[in-house]
Amino acid sequence: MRRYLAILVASIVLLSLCGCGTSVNRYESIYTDLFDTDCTFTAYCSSDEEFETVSNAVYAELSRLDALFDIYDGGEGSLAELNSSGILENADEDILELLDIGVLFYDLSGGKLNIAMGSVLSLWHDARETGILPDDEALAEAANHCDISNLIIDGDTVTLTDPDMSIDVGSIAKGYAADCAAEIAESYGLTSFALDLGGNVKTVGEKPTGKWIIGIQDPDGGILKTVEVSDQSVVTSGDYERYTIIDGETYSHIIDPDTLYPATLYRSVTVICENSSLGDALSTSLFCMDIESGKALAEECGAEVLWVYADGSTESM
Amino acid sequence: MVLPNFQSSQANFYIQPEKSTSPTYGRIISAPTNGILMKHRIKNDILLFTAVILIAFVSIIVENCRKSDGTTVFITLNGSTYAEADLSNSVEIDVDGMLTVVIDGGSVWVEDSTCPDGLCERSGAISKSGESIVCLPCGVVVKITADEPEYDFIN
Repeated sequence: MRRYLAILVASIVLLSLCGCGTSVNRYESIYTDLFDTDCTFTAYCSSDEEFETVSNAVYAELSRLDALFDIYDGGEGSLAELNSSGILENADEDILELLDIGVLFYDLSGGKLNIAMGSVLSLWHDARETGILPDDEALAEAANHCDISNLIIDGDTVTLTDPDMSIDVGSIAKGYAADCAAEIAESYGLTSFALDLGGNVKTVGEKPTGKWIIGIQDPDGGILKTVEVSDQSVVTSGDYERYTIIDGETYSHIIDPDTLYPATLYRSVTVICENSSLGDALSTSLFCMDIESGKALAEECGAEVLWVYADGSTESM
Repeated sequence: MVLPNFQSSQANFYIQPEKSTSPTYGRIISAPTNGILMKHRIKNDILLFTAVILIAFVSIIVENCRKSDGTTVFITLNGSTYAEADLSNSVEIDVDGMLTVVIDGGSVWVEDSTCPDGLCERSGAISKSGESIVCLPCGVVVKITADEPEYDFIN
């Protein structure tokens, strides 16, 4: 009797030890060649093989979208083709959807988010490369070719009726891509993962240890605020990571369509909402909008927002 | 079988180990339950119990040692791991001749980068798990990770 009891106890102890190792591990992939930024895919998977398979699929999807939305090196069927030839036939579904989002947010933001502003943005792109400020006259001339009503979407044919106009979707592409990539990961059965495309974070599910923890930087250093989320996107538009210094002055990369210069209302705007496309479009819009209009739009979109001013004060809703 | 209750000066002797075919009532002495017989049984139990517990502890220790508790600095080049080092080290790592990663005093930063914009150097030092420094032109990412980082992402 005692012997059996001993064997039973031993078995229980040994069996419970087998259960000690957790069944999922945390994995991470970093891609540095997409969307002109660094992209991280973090997932909890039960094996190296599972993670590698999904990571490859996520990378493939992000690459596909990056190629479509690329206005510099994009090939056939991309927005680069649209910009150079003025027309894109049999346009990819994702291009059509992204352009629709752009047009929608042009209206919602009162024109502060304008994907037809490519001619102005391209001058600032050059400025970042040459270190020479854009000429005011050149900027004014370029601003004459930013009318979004010259972007015609008819079925799957996209046309630019102004030959000097160009599309730039930098303000909304990453959010959209994050949503698409997340769908891919979910299709593989993953329930706990997150994507960070250069400050555009999309989380799905929770970590085994709890919610995803995102630190929002204080533009002057350190972490200003920590948010814990699950199934939410956290998108930050700010002036402290992508900027150029020209003649001793700092110029960020988000250009206000009205001033034609980098927006300086805030140091950063962080949006928390479920849909990443919405988060990205909203954060870029709000970065150029006054606080009252911004709050109204945020409310309309049902998003939580944190505005950080240059003097360090914050506003949230 | 009811054993005759022999009283004898050898009442505490334990049962002879060798098997006997003769009727046991002449051989087995009614051993009281608190005798050497019981001590032997208890000793066996204790030995077995201790062995099981020892195995359990050793397994737990081995399992815990396999996991790394420390924070690690990972340097990736074009998506593949180039180097890794513990954050507690004091070391300079040349990344493919393109930039130098310096780890010292619990912080990490980039020096001597050959990239055109110098953003990686200007972003300063990092010290917390979850933080990273990126040099896009060089395709280099320097990241501090731990099994469960303090921050999953820093915006």
